Amino acid sequence: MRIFKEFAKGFTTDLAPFRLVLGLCPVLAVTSTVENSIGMGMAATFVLICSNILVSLLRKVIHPKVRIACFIVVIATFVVIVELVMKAYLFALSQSLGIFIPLIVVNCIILGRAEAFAAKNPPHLAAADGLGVGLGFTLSLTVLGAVREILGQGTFLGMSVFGDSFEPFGLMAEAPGAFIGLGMLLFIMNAYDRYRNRVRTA
Amino acid sequence: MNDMVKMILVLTAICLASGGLLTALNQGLAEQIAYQEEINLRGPAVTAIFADAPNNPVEAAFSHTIDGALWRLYPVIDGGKCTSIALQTPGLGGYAGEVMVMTGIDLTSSTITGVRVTMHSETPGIGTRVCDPIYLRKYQGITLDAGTVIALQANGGGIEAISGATKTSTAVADAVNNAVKFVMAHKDEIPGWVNK
Repeated sequence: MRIFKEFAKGFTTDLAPFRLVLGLCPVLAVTSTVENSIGMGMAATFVLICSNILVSLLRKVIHPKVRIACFIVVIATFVVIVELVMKAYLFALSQSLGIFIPLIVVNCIILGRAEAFAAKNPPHLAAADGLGVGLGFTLSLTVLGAVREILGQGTFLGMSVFGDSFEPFGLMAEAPGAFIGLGMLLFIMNAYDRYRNRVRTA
Repeated sequence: MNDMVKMILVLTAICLASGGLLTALNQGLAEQIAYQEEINLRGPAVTAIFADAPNNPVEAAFSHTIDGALWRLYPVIDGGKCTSIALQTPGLGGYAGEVMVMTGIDLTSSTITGVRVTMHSETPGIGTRVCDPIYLRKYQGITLDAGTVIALQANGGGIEAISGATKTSTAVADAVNNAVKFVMAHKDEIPGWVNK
């Protein structure tokens, strides 16, 4: 079924940021804890779905020469909606994510999907694509966030995992740890893909 | 020609719709957001400044309009009289816009009780160092009179800036100065406002 295919590819061929190398900035910045990762992923997914649907609805009306400007206004509108709602009802999370919420506007995943998919497909497929890529992005963020929080602070979602005697690997909680964690996960994914290709052709 | 008109119309329409929607949402959520800022930012700042107050200055907070502006004041009430007051003021000149600062002033001794930064968009690790209560101790105990101006040493005042964060430090000093100016101008009236 076409709609399920568009949804599922967000977890495989279009997995952000490992296969679709976009949106690295928030991945590195907010993955210091699992809670922040899930929060950022959900906010970006909401914006992605809404902007994909609206861009798809307007795709026959927007002139190609001004399409980027139109996409950005649409994306920025939804980001500000997310920002205001978070400040009103999820204040602590909005403080933790800080400036990275408004930075969702320039998250290349959202502009990328609008340009590459939503502008050329009907709304129900655009919504499925947005949901798939968004949830895939959230999953990637959460995995990296889990690695960094467990190793860097010894907790998962704030709950202690190893007990008091654990000496946290502080580097993982800092920026270099984000790069290293991202690199290791990418290495594991590529190695697994290569192994699977070899098994298939054997 | 027709192409260009269509482009302009569509982009304008999208922008208008966006502006309208966001304005409506902003107004609709303003009260809830102000409430969240009160309990998460302003409240803790007041409690930190007036740590040994006999009453709860946050609960006793009241709003007062004067000279066309609305002020929110947090009073310390001792023995039925208002002895200290805290208020949030903006400071201009920050690296990324204005800095909001909560200043606590003792009305009986005309000194600054304490200062806390409540809202800012300064650079993490550099400008945010002004939020450190240990740095803000520089403002504690400053005696105030009718003509006191709070400014950085570089601008003729007595406050040391944080090296590397001059603009942020200037904004904090400006905010405290605004608070001091307001309180000293209305020092004798403020206890009267509390009872209303």
